[in-house]
Amino acid sequence: MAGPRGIVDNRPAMRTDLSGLVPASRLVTDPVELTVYECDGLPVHRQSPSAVVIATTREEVVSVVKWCATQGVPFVARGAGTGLSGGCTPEPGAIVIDLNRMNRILEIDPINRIAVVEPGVINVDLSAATAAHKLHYAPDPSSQTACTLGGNIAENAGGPHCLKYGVTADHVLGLEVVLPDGELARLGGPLADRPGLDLTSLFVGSEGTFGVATAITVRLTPNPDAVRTFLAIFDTMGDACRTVTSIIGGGIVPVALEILDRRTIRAIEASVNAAGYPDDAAAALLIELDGVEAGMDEEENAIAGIARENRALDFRAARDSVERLKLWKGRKSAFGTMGRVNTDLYVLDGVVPRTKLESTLDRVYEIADRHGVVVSNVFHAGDGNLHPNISYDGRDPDEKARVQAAGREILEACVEVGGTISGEHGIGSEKREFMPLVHGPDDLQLQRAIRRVIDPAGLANPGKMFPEEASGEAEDGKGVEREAARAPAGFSPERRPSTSGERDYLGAGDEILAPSRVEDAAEIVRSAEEEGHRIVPAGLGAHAGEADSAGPEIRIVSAAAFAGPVVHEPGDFTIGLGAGTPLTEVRDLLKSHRQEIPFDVPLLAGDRPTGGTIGGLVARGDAGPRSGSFGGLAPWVLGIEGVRGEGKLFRAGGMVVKNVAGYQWWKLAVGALGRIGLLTRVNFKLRPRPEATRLDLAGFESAESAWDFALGLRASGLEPVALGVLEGEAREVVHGLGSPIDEARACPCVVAWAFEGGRRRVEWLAAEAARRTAGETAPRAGTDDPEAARTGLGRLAGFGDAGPAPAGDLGIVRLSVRPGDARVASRTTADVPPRSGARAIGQWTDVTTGRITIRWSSDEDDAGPLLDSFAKVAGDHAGLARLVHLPPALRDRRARELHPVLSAALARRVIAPFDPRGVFARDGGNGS
Amino acid sequence: MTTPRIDDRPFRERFAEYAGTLDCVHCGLCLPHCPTHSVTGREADSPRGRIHLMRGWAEGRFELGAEALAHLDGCLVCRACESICPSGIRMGEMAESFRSERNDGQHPTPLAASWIGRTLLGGVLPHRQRIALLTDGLAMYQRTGLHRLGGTIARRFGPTLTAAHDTMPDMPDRRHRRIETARTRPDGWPALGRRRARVALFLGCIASEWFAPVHHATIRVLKANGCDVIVPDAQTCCGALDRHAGRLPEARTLLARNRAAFGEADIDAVIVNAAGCGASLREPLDDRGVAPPPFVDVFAFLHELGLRDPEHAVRRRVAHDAPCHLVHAQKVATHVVEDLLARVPELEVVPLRDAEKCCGAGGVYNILNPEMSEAILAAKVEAILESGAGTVATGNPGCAMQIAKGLRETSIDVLHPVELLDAAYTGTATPR
Repeated sequence: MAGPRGIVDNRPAMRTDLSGLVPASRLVTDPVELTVYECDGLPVHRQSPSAVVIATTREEVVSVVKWCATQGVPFVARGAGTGLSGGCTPEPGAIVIDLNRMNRILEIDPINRIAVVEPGVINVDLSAATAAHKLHYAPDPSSQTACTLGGNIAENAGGPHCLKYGVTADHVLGLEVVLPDGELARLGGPLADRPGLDLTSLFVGSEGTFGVATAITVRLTPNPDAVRTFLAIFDTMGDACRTVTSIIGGGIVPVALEILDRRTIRAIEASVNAAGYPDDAAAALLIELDGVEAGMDEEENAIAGIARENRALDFRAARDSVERLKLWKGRKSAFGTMGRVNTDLYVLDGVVPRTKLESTLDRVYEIADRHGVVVSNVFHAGDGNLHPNISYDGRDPDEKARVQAAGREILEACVEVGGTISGEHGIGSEKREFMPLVHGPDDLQLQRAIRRVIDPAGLANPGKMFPEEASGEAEDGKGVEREAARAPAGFSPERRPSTSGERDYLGAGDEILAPSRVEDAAEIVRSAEEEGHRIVPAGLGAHAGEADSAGPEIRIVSAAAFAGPVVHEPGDFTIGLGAGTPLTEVRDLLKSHRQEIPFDVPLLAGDRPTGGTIGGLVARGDAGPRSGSFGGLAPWVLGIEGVRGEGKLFRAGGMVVKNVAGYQWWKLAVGALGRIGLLTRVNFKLRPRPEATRLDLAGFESAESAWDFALGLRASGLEPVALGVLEGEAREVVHGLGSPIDEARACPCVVAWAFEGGRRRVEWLAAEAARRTAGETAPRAGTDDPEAARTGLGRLAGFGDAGPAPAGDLGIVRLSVRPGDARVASRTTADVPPRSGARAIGQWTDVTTGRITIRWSSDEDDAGPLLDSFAKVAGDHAGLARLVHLPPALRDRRARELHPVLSAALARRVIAPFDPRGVFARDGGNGS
Repeated sequence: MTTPRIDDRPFRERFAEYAGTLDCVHCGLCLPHCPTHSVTGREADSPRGRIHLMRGWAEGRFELGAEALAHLDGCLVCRACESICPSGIRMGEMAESFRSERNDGQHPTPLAASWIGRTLLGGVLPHRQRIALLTDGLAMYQRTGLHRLGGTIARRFGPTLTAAHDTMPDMPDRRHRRIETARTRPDGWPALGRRRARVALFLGCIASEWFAPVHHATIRVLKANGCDVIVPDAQTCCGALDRHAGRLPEARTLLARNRAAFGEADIDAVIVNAAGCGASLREPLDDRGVAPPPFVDVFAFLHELGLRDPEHAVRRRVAHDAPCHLVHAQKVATHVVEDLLARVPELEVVPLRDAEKCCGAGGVYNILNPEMSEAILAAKVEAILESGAGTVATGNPGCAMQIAKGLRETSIDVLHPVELLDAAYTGTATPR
């Protein structure tokens, strides 16, 4: 059998070679036995591998992948084979690397709330192993009792509880991967700051096309104190869908909102997992709340009221954990029970904006009827993630064809209303031909190019994710050039006045380019490339001092003209914003809808906003003091648009909250400091603006007692949304927030913490925190005025932000260590002796994330030893240090990264397709 | 895979339970629950993989060679997959039907193919006299110390004989290894106190001798709970091993004999204290329609009846290992047994990890597939040691022998849960 790549099947030789790499008991070559690997949970597509290697160690994976690279044999990794998009179905000639035996949990670190696992660990086993520490791994795909974490990462798996906690990508911190050439790479890690490109996020959801993960560092989530589960029963699907929109619209984000239709209910009730869903109901809605007990009664009452308003026939709470688990077990086995309906099952995975659920479902049923196929629906209603399940008999070719036609139409219907073709199952072999529904030709080519730079030989899980390339379509990018944006007629881009920062730091003239049309921006990029200039993307000039390029060949291009909301769907909790929109405007607009993106507008002295824009926020990737409790900024970014190298326009992601159609390459924009191009638009997921926000402070005579207090609070289970130890000038945060607070300011060390949520909950949390720390006699104060509290948080954010016109001797350095090391590291940095002309003037340590932000001032050469000391502290704790801002005099002497950036060479490879001519490149290099 | 179809028979005829294979939608939830897949990680050693092979063969996509058959024979028929499968796969019926089909063709199952297997299954187990003779012989062999020499010799004859030799328990004392039947004791044993039920006791084949003390204990516990107990004489082996080997005609014959033996007695229940036998007796073998005698597991029966309070303390830390054929085949929940044990004063039931996972016994699987069986047993032993228990309680003779073999080097003993109840009624400090 000759594969499409001219691969010759050479099984006997293959067997001989592979048997030198693993023992016979872990090598499968019998052709009949190999057929059991011909599909995963999607039996529509079938193909036996040439061999299966069951690997047990990283070294075995390396040796097998290297062998594949040498021999030109394609490979695909497999975990439990529970995927639903054919992700681990091999291409002809490919071998399967089975990882289900690599199932050791390598490390559980309760202090830093992380675990390191091998890829074959079963999802639910990790949570079982961490239960003793009252922690769990949050993403919970329905197959979690069987599926492996390696597979979860390949597909960026979701699950019912992702509504509140986010999907796999939001919980993976680092990866050890075997690249397609057999080289080992380490991406990301346990640190909150990941300088350079966020390759971890790119790898998650790459469906095995970038290689094989052999170790995974994940974030662990505290187990909630209380869980309440409700079942609401409806006569119509529409009533159930409207209940979901009203609950979230009312400012409540449950941990899960799941709908089951009549056919699904009946299949479940006939199975071993019968859960007590009434089988005459048109729709059952499963609602779960979790968190602290306080305030839950109010939420329960509100939800019950909403269900009643939407004509719920019944609304009841699970009596106990037994009933709750039963309800969930029924829901999570829904796919499996479909075997009762017919022999085969085709699970779809379209996503639509939440407000379009009802109309889309009507269309789903209509399409199924028209094609004469049987569809049942069970879905993550809160996320708008539909799972139409089509049951059929695959032995009937006509029925199979009708199923596939109906499937395509259903996905087209999702795309038509602004949705996408996969929310959590992946594209795999199943939906590859549908990719052009959601990606333009340029963006598809870009993704193919990213794949090629990581896997030039095309051996890692070929035949997945991208449609077959039409013959004649160029591999070398020539096809792309044809589609490059044309120079618009009457090209004359707008300009805006430059800021003093741009003039001082970047040598800008009085005006800088600020095009208002993407075509103009594209033309600017092209002409810069032709003239040998480089481009520094800017917004309103708030962070000119952070750019690490300068000189006559630099052109600043501002996105300031791309300002304001492009589209805001309050009901869907999504917004598309021009990249040049000032942060203050975003905050105020969303506030009027009682919504927010969880960032804090950085405030400078006198509580002046910095003038930062949304584009700058994303490029810098720093959302402020609350970011630790929201997983940073990346989980909130749904899509981006902009201009990349060669003047090509790009659009990645979309406006839906779950999206695994293609690589998650929009995540690369977060923290990339403009390296991937000029952003013109960013789409965000929104959250209800909390009803109450509260900031509390306590002053301490010594850092040791401050840290004892702060760590006590962190271990309390109360989970403040921000928690910091403030020293030196950082204590100014408390200024003017009330007289007892000013008293705290007189202390050398101040601990600040914030709570937010429903009013009752926040009151309880604050009281509880006070009760648990009652023995502490430190002067303390708090404000429950949300505006005052947010001002305090904004000042903390501003402490790490130099602003548009910083003092000439100001420097800011940011250390990132594991939270468990933050205490010792911050003591050491605080003790760094001042030099004659250089000294630290204040620092704040984020206790939750382990980030230490230090402001310092320096006149001349004395900064060097000071910075070396900071770098050493970070290095001693396996952390990293980065110069956020440095005085102009020092600009050319220090690289921004005080430590080598992990996998910088790989990052440079990934950047190349975005920017082949280096027009967005930096002086600092380093892949950032 | 496009193997030409060798056999043109329509696939539904190739395999009676073929339709059952179509219930599987490949969701994979069964994988972590399968004891063999847990050992090897091979898909063909999982329920999903085995169903795939049976279906593919039935549909004529391929013929099954020695390697594929080995994976199908590797199924213990523990049926843990049935308890988890959302689509309601019936692995027990499928495996029996498939193996029966094989016995009719060119590739009989190893047990059905071997001379020793056929002799044992057909010539010994259905005959209580022959079992008695065998037991007397084995007891002599053990008492004289010959078995130590025998063990050495067995090792030279390979793993199967070694496994058989190592699994064999100590034969009970002559005084305790015979159970009187209705032939010599027509009135049976009368209930103590108020009479609540009249029951018959099922003895089984080798269990009737090797585990006679368990039967004595069962009778005493039933009496203590107000039951008249009779032991019909015409009863015979349950046929479970025949089923495992796909010898369905032989199994049907045995089932018919048992139904006749118990069908005539005027009783409320037939008490079975061996989970494997209970499963075999309770499941119809295609003669649906005839009301079978009320075979019921001793714990399900006592739980339903309501246990009288035992008065004596039994100071033990007990781990309960649920026999697969109790929990997965008969669907008697693990807590049923544990609820009863919890009634014994001072007896502590400690949690046992993976208590509902197979121990690797599987009838005579441990003799036919010693390597796999040992690997499964090792995981069980590890869990038992982790539990901190001093006693393992399990309600199936095969499991008891297997686990005892695994615990031979430890001080942990293995008892039938009914023996613990018996100790609590009689005040015997140490059962057996």
